[in-house]
Amino acid sequence: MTRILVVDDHASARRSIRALLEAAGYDVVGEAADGRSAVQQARDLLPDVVLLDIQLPDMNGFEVAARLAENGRRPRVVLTSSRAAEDYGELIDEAPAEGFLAKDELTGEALAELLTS
Amino acid sequence: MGEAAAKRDRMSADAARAAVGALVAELGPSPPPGRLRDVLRTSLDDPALEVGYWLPDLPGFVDIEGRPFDPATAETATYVNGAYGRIGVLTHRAVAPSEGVLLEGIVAAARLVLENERLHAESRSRLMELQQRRFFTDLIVDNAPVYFAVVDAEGVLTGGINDTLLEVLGIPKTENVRDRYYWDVVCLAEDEEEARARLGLVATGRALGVQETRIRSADGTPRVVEWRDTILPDERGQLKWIVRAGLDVTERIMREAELRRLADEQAALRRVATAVAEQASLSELVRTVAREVGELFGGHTAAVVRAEGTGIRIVDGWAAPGSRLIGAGRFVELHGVETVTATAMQTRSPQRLTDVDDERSRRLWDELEIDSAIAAPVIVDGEVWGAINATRSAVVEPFPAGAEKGLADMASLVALALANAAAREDLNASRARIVQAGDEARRKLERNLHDGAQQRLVSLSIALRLADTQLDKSPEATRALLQTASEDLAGALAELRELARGLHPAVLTDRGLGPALQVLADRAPIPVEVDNHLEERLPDAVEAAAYYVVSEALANVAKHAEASFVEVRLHRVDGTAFVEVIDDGVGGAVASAGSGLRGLADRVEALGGRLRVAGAAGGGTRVAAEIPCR
Repeated sequence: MTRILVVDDHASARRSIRALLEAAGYDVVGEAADGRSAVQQARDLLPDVVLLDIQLPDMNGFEVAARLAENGRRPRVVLTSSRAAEDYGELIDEAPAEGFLAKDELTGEALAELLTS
Repeated sequence: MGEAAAKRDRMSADAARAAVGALVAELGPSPPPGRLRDVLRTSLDDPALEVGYWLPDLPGFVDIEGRPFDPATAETATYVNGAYGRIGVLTHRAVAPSEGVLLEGIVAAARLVLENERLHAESRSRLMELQQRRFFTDLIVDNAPVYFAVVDAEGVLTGGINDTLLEVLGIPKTENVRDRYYWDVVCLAEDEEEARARLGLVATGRALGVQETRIRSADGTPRVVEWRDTILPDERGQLKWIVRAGLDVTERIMREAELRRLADEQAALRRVATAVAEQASLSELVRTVAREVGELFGGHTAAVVRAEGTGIRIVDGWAAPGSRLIGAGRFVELHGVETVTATAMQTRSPQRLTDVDDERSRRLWDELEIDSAIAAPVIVDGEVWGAINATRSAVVEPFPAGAEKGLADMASLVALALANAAAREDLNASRARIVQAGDEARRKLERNLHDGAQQRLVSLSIALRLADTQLDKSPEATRALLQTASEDLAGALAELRELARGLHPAVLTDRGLGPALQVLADRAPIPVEVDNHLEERLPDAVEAAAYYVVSEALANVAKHAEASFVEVRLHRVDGTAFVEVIDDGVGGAVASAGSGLRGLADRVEALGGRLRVAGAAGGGTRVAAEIPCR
């Protein structure tokens, strides 16, 4: 079962995403509300995937992804946002991540498809 | 003729002959002038008899001294004719017909003597007239506003000088200058050579134009005189006198210099005004002003200074070639010294100083070789911004009269430029703040949408997808999800409504300022009374500005004022809307302190209005906006 860390500064969003992913058969191993705790939890929990919201209070998702890439065992990162991909342009392509899923497109199938592509 | 009458005639003829004989004997061969009258008085036994002499081209009849003589006042006048007409008149008592022969005889005998005496009377009369003319001429010469000096070929004042010139030179009328040289008496010592040379040329007929020279005057100040020379020859045609007539042109020259100075001043003011109108930079303008002031007033140095603490800082200066200048940027302490600049700034009026008392200023003046100074304050919006000053060295004269007034005109232009620059700066800052505030508002709106409604809608979207997947497996869980989704939707709607109201309250658009402010008042955490005297709607922009003034003021009251009551007043006078928010809190707010109030001031000023915040600490706060309704 794929182990996932959900990073989002809105509690309601974290709650909804956890329910959606768990219903789709993922193992949500942890939640983080900001970039620092996301990096820390990734180090501690060693998730397979980090579902990473781009807009965070202390640093943005691209910076968090870069930090995660420095880890010895780096998790696969999927960027997400309530904004659309075109709002971020090339930043998404250049980030050390598997790809981007807008929150309104997030489903278990969409995530699986992105991770297997 | 009867016997008796014939006898009487014979007797009178005899008497006449006797009288004529006696008359001729009495007069003698060459009688002195006037003798005729005395002899005639005896002959005709008439002590009141007078003799008049006819001078046709002079006053008419004259007496023996040449004085006018009027025969009409006498009882009887007997006119005496010579070979070529009338020569005189006798005035005497009336004579009896028997004395007619006697009178005729005597007149005939007296005719020759009368003719001689008439020449005497004529010469007396002419002399008298000459004397009168001489007196008249002297009067003119001594009282005319013209200087006269009469010198001989050697330059000695043999003909003297007139009273007008004596007075200017300070020489008493009793003093004899007639044996002294012209240049010793009249000229300035340094002009002596020139005067000698000039008189030499005049004496030889080689210079007769106008010569301008300076003369010494009683009060020590030299006067400028335009001399015209005339040569007066003697009987042999040789030079006897040179008559110098001088017109004092000192005042005219001063007036001309003053007019030139005024014209220069106007031109300089025009140049500075042009620089002001062209919105030259302050440093450029200050440099222009310093140079214009320096050159205009023939100064030694000129500077524009700015008040700073207890002293001044030189903004920029100008110095005449070879003069020393206190450098731009230098601070000069004015505490305890009386400088013309300090006085001008204190009294807010132009000043002039020709001496300094205190030691420090004296040293500074000595060091900079200053001998007189003028200064005028630069007052911007009622505050003393600084001053313009100018100095002169000892080698030139003090500043001309009125120079400090000219300096004040220059200072007004500088003040205008500064006020313009400050207004421009304020306007630019205000524009920048308005743009910044707009950007900030949009950022805030985006953040609020993103963090609020958008998040709720995202959660809602996820929940609906989740419900879709679970609908068949777990209807209970699905119902719970739908319940949460419904709550999220309601929350999202509430947040969108709140945001929309923050953008522009619908009640303001729909019902106007009074009701909109009443809504604000009702929602405020402290009691607010709205005192609305508006009878009709205001223009949209004015309503919006007034609304935000009250909204921001109420928010500030709630946050800072610790007030127990707020009053909001609205009224309109002619074309201006007045909005006031008055609280009974702690006071001490200022418009520039909080960006909220500053932003409101910008909004109000953008409509041509004014926002004022008043309130000493402890006395409550009054925020008042006046906004023209255009």
